[in-house]
Amino acid sequence: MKSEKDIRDKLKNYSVDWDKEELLDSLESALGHPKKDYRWMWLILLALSLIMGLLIWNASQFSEDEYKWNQETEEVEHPTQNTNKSLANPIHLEKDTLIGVDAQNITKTQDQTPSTQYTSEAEIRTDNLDPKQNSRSRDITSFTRVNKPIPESHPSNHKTIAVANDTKQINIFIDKSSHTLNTKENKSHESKTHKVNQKTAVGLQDVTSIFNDISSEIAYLPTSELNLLTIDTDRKHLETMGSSMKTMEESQMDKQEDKALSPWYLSLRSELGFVQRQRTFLTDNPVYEDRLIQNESTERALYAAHTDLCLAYQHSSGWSLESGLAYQEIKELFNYEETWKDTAKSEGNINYIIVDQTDTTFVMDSTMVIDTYQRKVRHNNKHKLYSIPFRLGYEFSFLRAKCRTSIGANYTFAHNFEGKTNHIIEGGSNEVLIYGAENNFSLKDRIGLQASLALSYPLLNKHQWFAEASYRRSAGMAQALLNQRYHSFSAGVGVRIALGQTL
Amino acid sequence: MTNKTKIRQLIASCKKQEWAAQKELYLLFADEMMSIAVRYSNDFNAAKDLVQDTFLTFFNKIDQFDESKGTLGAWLSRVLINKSFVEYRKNKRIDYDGDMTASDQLSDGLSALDHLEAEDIIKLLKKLPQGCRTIFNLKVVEGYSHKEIGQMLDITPSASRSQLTRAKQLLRSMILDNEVNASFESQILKPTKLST
Repeated sequence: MKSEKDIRDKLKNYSVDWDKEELLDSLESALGHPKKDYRWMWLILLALSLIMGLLIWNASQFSEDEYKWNQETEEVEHPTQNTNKSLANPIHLEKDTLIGVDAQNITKTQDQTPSTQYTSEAEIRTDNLDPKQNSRSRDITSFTRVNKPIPESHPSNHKTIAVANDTKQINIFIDKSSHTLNTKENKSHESKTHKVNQKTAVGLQDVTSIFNDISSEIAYLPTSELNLLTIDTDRKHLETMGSSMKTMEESQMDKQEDKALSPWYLSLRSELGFVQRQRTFLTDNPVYEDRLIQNESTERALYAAHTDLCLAYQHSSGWSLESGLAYQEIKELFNYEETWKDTAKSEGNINYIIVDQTDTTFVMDSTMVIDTYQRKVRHNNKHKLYSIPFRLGYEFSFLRAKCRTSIGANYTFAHNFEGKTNHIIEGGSNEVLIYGAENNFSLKDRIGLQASLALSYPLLNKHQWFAEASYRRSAGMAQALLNQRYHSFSAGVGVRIALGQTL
Repeated sequence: MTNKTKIRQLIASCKKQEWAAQKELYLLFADEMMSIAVRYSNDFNAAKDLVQDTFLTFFNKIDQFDESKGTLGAWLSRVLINKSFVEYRKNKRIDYDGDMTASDQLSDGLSALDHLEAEDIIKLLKKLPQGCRTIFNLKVVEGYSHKEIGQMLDITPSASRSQLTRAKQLLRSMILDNEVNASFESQILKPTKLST
């Protein structure tokens, strides 16, 4: 048996060139040592770092601008008087709110014309900021530049009211130096400072009484002009003539956005959520159907992660369109367990010798042995979906934030499955390992749906970060006997970056 | 520390379900198990599955391992071979064709394999029906008797013998066919360089 020995030696000594470490992951999870997947944590960390970086960069740019402006200004001291006022029905009044009323009784914020002097004052309000100090430390001296001579080209027949709301008090100023509407009386500045006990909060009664107080003290100013200012308690903003007064920051932001920002945005979002699988069977054979139903428990959907990069067009009316490239990963746990019994006939020793006269018969002791087999397989399955999303959104203001609702569809152009599945075959079922989508799931209908609600806060002029909750229905994936899709409910964060500036 | 001591320590740690020890033990024996698995499997992916299942079973039933009854390598290879039977028996894929009285002489068929490398023999083995291949492996490579094979596969020893004969005949005919087709070198053996 030389040949047999040679072959044995050759095959025994044969070694396979393979990457044995590739089985480690599945072995680890199958043994109940699930390997922690930090990739999504890294992605979220990266996204947060990006947002933080953008915030810091933008803040530093803003401070530099303020500092430059400050170099070109001068400060004039201005005397103030204090009057204590108590709070009633407190509402939130935005810090450093500026209110101006011009000669035509049109109240404007600093970014609006034709209140030219008011605009000038707003500039003064800004240019006295110390870049090294927090904005809460802005004080009354910020308003003293109202004495600055108004250029000839600008109309001066108006009055200006400024409300500065720092951490402890609300200061209301009335500048009469250039007021020529109802009186020729040449008074210099008159000011009123009302102290409040609660920071950045003022009641309707307080504001009304403050204005009345001012009206009585400055008799030549018609009360009706002052009455133009009202408080809308529902919207918690000072309002006049039906239009909302804006805070300084908002006005500055709006001004910059309106004049400079492009309606085109680049948006990046990452979301994580739970997922539910929906299956329909494509067979009428009750035997297969029964097996499919039994098989349902072998796979359990765990979670879905979603990330996309989109280009968006935001119309001034609030409507937006968005499209780009999206990636969704759905993870499932394949938990296959089976027990079956196998009957085997064992050939034992010769136990019985039956002697029938001259004949001797040997009877083998054959016994039936029932072996019980059990096998457990645990594996993490992964569906990867690559799609192009199309979203139609509408943005509206909600309190101090912006809400954006969107609905849309996803066109899934690629799908990849990696994992184990329990194949239903004629003779039974068989657990198999599948890499890639070949001979397994194929995209049946490629269109998925999605709806989302995002809440954003315009912290920055050019960059806006948002938190979003979404529902997504995946494209249909079909195997030989079944069709399935996933419903995911996820939440995450994202950032929108304005692309360039308009002319 | 000798290899035997190290393995003993690893087994002790594996009994405590320590992943680091399980990993090290797997890396020590994975190649050896794979070289056996490829002989019993249809393709490479099935061989990988077989290796994984073997180690899973081993780690889950490591308490049953008795060092006095054999080496760890032998125990693992026995688990692997049994696993391969389980698959075949479960799927009813062993195509036994009844008892055949045939010669147990192997030299007729196997002498043709003498000049082949192990890799080429494995390629040929993969073309055999699963039952023939299993019995060929058990008899020729592992050295089991027909009686033992019969017990393992729930068949009679004569059925095992006939399957071996069939395997031998198929191997021989495959080699002959390839020689006749003159593509033997390129299809089965390593490709030879063409002279320019």
